[in-house]
Amino acid sequence: MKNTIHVQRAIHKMTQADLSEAIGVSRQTINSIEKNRYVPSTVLALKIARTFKVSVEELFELEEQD
Amino acid sequence: MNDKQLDKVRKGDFLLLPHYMKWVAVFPVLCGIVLFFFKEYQHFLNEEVATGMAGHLILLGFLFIIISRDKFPDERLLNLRHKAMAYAFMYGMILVIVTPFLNFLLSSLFRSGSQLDFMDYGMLSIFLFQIMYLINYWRFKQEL
Repeated sequence: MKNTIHVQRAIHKMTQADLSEAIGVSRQTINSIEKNRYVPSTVLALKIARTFKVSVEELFELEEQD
Repeated sequence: MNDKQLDKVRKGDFLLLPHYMKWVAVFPVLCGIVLFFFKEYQHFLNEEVATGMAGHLILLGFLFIIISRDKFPDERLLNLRHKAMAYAFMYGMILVIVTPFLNFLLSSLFRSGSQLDFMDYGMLSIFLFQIMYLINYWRFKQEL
């Protein structure tokens, strides 16, 4: 699954630490999600989407192999 | 169960101790190691009781380390904790199955020193299970 979290962070001028603080997870978790090593739960995906004021579909996209 | 308890079970962070217990748990582990290596120099307990007590102190300390929360617990770490537990369970099962063969192999290898008599195999299995859990958890935290 692809995601555009790092793009959204750049748009909103947020660091990984800022985002992790905003949604209540560790910075390592944000890093893992951005590098596609960890797929977040629905709750966390919705929290990230709400932080960037976008829909979940704009943040996460399924790939061929998913 | 009330809603709060159900929520804890759903999130998977039930039965976990506070983070500071990780540091408190180092104390019984150190005591166990010291007691094990210096059992000949103390006169309070006989050697057999001292080795058994040392083993139990180490197991207790590791148990506290395992069931203590991380500094910043979140869903990823709980996920990794469950994965590490599953891996350790699988390895533990394999270990229990191969223990009779391992017992024979180790006793023939170390017969002269009989160093492996310090723990019974039940304790050894639990100890290896704990070590496997801690190694896997640490590895997953680095890689995932």
